[in-house]
Amino acid sequence: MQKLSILADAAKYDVSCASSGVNRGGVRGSLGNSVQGGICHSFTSDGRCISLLKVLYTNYCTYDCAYCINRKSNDVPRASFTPEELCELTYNFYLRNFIEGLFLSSAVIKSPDYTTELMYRTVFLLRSKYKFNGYIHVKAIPGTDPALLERLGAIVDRMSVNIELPSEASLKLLAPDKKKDDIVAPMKLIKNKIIEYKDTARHLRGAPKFVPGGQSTQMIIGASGDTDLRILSLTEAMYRKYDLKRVYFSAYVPVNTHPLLPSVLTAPPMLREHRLYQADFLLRFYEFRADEILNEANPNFSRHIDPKCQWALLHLDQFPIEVNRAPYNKLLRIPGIGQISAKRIIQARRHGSLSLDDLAKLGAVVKRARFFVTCSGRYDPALKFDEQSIFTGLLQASDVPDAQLSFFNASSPVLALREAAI
Amino acid sequence: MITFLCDSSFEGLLTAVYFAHREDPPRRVVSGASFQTSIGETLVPVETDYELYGKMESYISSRCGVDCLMAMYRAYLSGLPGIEDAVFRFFRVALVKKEETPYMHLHPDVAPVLEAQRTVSRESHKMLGFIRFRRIAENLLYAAYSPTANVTPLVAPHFADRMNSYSWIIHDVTRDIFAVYNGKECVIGHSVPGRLPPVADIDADYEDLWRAYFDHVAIAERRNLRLQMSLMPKKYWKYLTEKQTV
Ligand code: SF4
Repeated sequence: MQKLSILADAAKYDVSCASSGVNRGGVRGSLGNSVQGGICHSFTSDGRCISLLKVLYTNYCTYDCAYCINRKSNDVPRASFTPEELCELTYNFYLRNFIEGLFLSSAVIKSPDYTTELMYRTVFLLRSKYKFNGYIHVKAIPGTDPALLERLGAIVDRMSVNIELPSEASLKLLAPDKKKDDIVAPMKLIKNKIIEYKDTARHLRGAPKFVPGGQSTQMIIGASGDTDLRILSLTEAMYRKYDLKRVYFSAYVPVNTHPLLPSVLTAPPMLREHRLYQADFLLRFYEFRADEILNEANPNFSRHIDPKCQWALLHLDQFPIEVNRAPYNKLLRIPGIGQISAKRIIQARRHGSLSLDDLAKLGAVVKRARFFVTCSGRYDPALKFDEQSIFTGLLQASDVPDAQLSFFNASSPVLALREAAI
Repeated sequence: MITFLCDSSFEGLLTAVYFAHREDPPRRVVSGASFQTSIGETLVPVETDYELYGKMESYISSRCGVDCLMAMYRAYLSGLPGIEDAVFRFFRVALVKKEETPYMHLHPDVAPVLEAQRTVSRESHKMLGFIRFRRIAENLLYAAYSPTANVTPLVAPHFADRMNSYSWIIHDVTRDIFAVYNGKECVIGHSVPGRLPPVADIDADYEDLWRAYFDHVAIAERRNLRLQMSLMPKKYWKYLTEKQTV
């Protein structure tokens, strides 16, 4: 119990918990299957989904990353699992439907190869002896032998490499043992192997799959001085270059005292993390580009309004949009209209023209959308279509409680956006 | 006003829908579970006709599309007051609008069924995660839970696929409905064959370990109980291992 507590504690700052991306039916005599969209099994007291058993194999570390609780110079309780212990735990948790599978990461014990070998042995045992057919996500340790990584990738569902920090400069400062190239190399390897295995599978039915759930990564937000623009552009580049399934952001929780880090009294930048996830959504599902959302003049997100509203305010020339005629990709650009409501709008308007009330029934967030739409040529007569009025209106509909207090002294929207930048 | 009264099964409902549709207006469909008669109403009890049900089922899926049938079935599982009549009115629209029906989000006779279907689908997905099994014998798992809608028929196939080398029972405590899987097939009914062993886990250590894990994986600095509560409503806590105090 002690061991589990230590190694769960040590892994808790890792955010990528999803069990998604793989649809695999059960196999007679094996335990487990996997569902495309993933399943949440519980929610922690901080409101995050628990899907996988997320633990470190060990928290004994030979490295000394400044932001990490497990760095070798910290005096914290240490523990290591054995492969058998981890298998028993995973199997028995899964059987009781506590979890969707295992998310195994580790500190670096002795060397990257040594660590990965231990993780491989665990996963291999779980798949072979325990006949475990559930979801497995492993973290690839930078600096591991490519051949070893390939073996590991062939028996797991997802692999991820943490890029940790949004720029090489901050990496050098805060994680002196990690090099950018060491992080990029396994990402490239995973991407190439996925393509290679898929190609083989085209000619050979039943050929093994390589990380069918794809790869993901995560970076720490707020431990270094990087702007939101920098982070978002990097995110976009990651999706494009390495074909990542997800980029996760983790608001830095100060655990160490270090001259280059925020003090331990600093609250984690949760709003900033939230804004990054909102913008990440715009990249992945709404066909936005990073440089449309932020630019050198506006390199950070607004505290007060979400990234889509921020973008729309700066592009008022593209609005208002007629909901009864606009194509899907235009509807998606309207704040307050998401993928589901956009689809429903298109389906419902085949049977009659839509009003603002109808939009609400179709699931749109009308308190935001109303500023940006016309319904059958009509703009809401209660509203004025200009930057200042819309900005004030949006603040009243803001998702951030304290924005409503401060909107009284926010005058020019563009100025306010700059001031409000985190 | 003629009102057709069916039993609480989907077979019964579709039988009543058939008869109500044949009549001249006005008519209404209710189930024995929850109804109130009003003055001037004639109640016509409908006996469930399984053969007729089979015909209705294939008629609906071939003529209106399987999505219509699924919408009606899932909405029925919601057990919401008045849902039987809503399903009937949906059916009347579906006869005319066919495959287009599930997309008519604003039609007053379609929307209630779509809405109920969404609620049921959402809850059944949540239950895939929130159901907690106890290993009550070497090869037997038992889960008690209490969903708002009657989602047992929707969740059972998932576990039959996942836990296929075990026998298991999923027990909806509120409705006293059991899904029983014997390693080969799954039967849903109001009883369990044979006698149940005590429903305690033979290896309860894993429940303690899970509770410890649950506490340790949370980040104190990010504490947000309101968010937790909205994602995992209190009504489900009774059967969640990690929310039980020992
Ligand atoms: S390698 Fe760095 S980030 Fe990873 S456990 Fe060790 S100190 Fe922490």
